Amino acid sequence: MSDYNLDLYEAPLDLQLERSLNSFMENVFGADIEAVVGEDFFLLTRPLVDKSMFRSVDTIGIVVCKEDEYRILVDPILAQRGLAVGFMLGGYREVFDANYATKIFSHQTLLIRYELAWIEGYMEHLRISLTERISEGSPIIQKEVVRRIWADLVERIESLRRLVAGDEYLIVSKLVAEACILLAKLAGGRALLRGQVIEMSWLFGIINEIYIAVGDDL
Amino acid sequence: MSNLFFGLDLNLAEERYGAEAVSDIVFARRIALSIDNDPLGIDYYRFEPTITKLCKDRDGSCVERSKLAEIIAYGDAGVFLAYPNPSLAGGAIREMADEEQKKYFFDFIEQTHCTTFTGITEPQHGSDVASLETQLIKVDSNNYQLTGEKCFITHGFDGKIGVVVARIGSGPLGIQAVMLKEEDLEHGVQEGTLQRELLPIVGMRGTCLSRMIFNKFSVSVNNLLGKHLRVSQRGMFSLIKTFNRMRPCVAAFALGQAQAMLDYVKIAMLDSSSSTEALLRVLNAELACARGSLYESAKIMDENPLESASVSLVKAHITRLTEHVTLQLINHIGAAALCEHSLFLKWSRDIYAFEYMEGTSDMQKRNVSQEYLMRVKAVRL
Repeated sequence: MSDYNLDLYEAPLDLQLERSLNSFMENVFGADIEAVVGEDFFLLTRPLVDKSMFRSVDTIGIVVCKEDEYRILVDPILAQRGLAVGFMLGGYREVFDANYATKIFSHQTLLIRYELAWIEGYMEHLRISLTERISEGSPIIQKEVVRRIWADLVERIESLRRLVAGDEYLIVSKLVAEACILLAKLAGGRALLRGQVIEMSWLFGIINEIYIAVGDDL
Repeated sequence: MSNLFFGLDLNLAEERYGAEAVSDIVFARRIALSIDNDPLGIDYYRFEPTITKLCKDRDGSCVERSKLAEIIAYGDAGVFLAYPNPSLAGGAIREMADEEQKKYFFDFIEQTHCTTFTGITEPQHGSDVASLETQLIKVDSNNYQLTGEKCFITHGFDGKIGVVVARIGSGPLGIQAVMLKEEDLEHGVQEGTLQRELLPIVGMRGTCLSRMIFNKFSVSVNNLLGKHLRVSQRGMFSLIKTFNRMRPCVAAFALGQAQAMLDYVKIAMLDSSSSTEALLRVLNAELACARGSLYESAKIMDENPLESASVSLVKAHITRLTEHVTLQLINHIGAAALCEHSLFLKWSRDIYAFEYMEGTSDMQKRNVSQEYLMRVKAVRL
């Protein structure tokens, strides 16, 4: 029996994204920090305790800003998960801490490992699903075009594994995006449902743009 | 008065699509975020001029429809897909219905301004029509019963009229389309022979993607489509023509959306750096090239809707191009694209839906190669 949920309409994997993001932040920076800021942007993983005094961290140290020094963007899909994105408007106070660059790296590591785990889990879910589904008389996984996409996917995942094992994150965002597009092709229309690969790909895109991306040369 | 509106430069919009298009674009852009938040909220706007225009369309050409689709999608593609209009069901009705059925269908939409649905895709076989499992079983000379599940149907939850395709016999000739009217749908829901469920989707939420489960749902013989046609022309044959005529419109939504994102970067993000200018110039050139192919293929569909290769090529190409444009822009602009602009954040979810509309890229590419190889073989013979 498969451990995975093969129901067409249900999310196949529940790696508790919101809770995981929150725990990564707490584990690395402590419970009183409300967001990690990357290049003036942040992903909010829980409601702010006090909107008038927002405590976050970036590579320099602790950032404390008032209500008019940041802005939160509302999006219905993020809101369903209790998430929001925001950006700093400037004028805020910052307290230097030499350890924060290292902590930011630890936070990045946890995020990337989470993304890789989700991608590997979804790939396994699709392997089972495409083996069980029959089209034109044979399992979908045996179709030539599916096998080619599968091989492309394996190529990305092997590269991702190597990079993650070596703590090298320079092209990780690009590989995650490519792997997710290939998974979406294999998943078909269900990919658009909540908890499936397009939502996760979009969320990973936001996370990676804020915390992992290294510029526009990818 | 400012010519900037929700990230639109009205002068540029007029330059691109003509003065008469501006109001359609502005309206779609104005309600884009509210429809994304509450797709069924489109009902509130159903007598707006753009929707009236769409609901009056009975025999527009593929070129005309594709042009209007691109215009509205430049405002917002998700809004276009939320709009009440005959849509794909209208295409199936034009292809398969007799005159009385056509009059009923188009009169109903013109009067009620309702959304419509087309139920083809099934959970186990996708949109592979040859493998359909939904059954249409004859009960007596006047009545049939529909049993089976349809999934990923645009407006399957809220559409007041639509078309469902089912199997009435074995083989490719055993495909039958039926028109389902408002009273049939209401009766089915009350009797428990029809369940309609809105699916939780993350992109292009205006589609109101749904599932419909039929269990001995009553269908009158009068609602079977194509009785006046030869058996060979009723099912698969008519569906191929319907899909082919719809594909340029889907490519046009995608193209309008891609063009909107490009222009938005320049207008709303106020980015006029030389590297951005260079990127936009290249991407604009790619879109212009794709636009030429799109309208050429729409013209071919108006002349011969069975020539699948050109529309399949265009649909696959523009889908890929739209994804490429989006990723290039996000890569270039970085987190600002996603974290400062709600519209861009929404569009970055929406663009993935084009792949699944009217056939995936792999299916389109199969059409292209099959038809091309057949043409070569015919020339050699």
